[in-house]
Amino acid sequence: MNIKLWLQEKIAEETGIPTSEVLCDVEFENFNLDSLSLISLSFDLETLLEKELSPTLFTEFNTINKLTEWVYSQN
Amino acid sequence: MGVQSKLVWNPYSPGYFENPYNHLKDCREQNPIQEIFNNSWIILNYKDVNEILSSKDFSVSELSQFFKEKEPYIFKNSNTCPYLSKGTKMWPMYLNDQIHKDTRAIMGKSLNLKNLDTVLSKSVQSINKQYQSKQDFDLVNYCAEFIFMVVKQILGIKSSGEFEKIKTYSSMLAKSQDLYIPKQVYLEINDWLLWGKDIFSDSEFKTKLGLHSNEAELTYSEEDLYSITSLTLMAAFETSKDNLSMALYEIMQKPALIDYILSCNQDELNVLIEELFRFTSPLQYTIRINKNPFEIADKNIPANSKLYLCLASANRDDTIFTNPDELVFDRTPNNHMSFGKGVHFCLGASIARQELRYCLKPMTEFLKNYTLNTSQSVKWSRQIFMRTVESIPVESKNS
Repeated sequence: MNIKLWLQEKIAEETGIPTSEVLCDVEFENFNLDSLSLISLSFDLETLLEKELSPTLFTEFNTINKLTEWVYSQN
Repeated sequence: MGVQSKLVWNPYSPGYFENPYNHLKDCREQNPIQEIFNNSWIILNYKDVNEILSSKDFSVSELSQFFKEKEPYIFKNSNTCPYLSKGTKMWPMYLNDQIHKDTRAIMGKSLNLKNLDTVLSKSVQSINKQYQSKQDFDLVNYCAEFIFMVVKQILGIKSSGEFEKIKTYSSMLAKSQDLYIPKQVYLEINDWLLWGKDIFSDSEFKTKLGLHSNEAELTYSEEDLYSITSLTLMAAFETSKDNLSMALYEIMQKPALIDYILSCNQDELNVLIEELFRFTSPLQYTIRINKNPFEIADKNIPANSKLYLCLASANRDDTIFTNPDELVFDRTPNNHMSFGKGVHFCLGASIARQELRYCLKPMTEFLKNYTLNTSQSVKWSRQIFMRTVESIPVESKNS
């Protein structure tokens, strides 16, 4: 599973921004994602990975690159 | 010299849901007032929580308004009828001023508390009889079924056979108030709120609410009455079930406490019950909004901040309670805040007390023949505001 691409597509779906413009080193708050959106994205990621995650994950790892790195470090 | 970083409150720290008290103690001792999000603060000391709850300078936050703002996002791409804001509109713990007073008044008048003593005695006999032939069972279900028997009487709900669904309904409504809830779960909560309308179609409580609101010339719509009724069921069922489950869990682990309960008199039992409320604190947090800026322990809190008051932490504050992490059977005084304080003091506190007064001895007598089933684990819910245990497996000592 390409987590980076999955995150880009999810954020594009949430915000209406084209996937190509969801850059991996831009902080999530710059995509106008509020706390409820970030918690909901974390829930989607939890479902995808079939693993309990902290809903604050997207705040702790606040770019696609940082979050992807964290996900891979867990395996 | 660098600035020493202080401990940050994090309910997702390892082991928090199994036992929040170690983390809360560390936070209380190292960093008792913290800004956790923008304009949102957590307050952990008894003294501060007590002062805020006792003051008129603070109001409660408005859950229904929160949902109103978030519904366009939550229901984007959904065909479901948004009902979160409407369904929670009349929940009294999120109401201020006159509407809060009015709602509480008609709720109090509409509860059927006649013969509560008899209802409690019969229900505890009935639940013990129902479980007496079981070699193993879930202690949470035992408690939930007992509380459900009582709540059905208090609210005059006639429908039966809906226990499992009503249990889920109550749990989802409790979850609606929690922190870090994703939109996917809000959508589920919305479905349950819509489902629950039928539970109360023939409920005496809802009928009485209508009568009393008319008498008081309050213009509550049918949906307002449903909102009050749904909250009453959740508050009566969820917190009592959680408190009783956690209390019995503690009792089953302490043979000296079992002996004490079986031999103590009513006054001693009443004192112990208060200690169990302090110790279990099912409602772990409550929120207040400061109308004006204020200063607390050298922190300047801007007006209209959200203050998360940690009742669970306050109840374990060692500046107030000696040996706070121990169940002290005869603790007096015991000014715990498990029912909150001030104008929003829990309306069901006296019912919760009565429940324990009537059930604790017979339940302990029954459960002394059982032990915790250590081959299966106790499951705690990942809930922050209302501490909930999902499952406590127990087995007969003879099995």
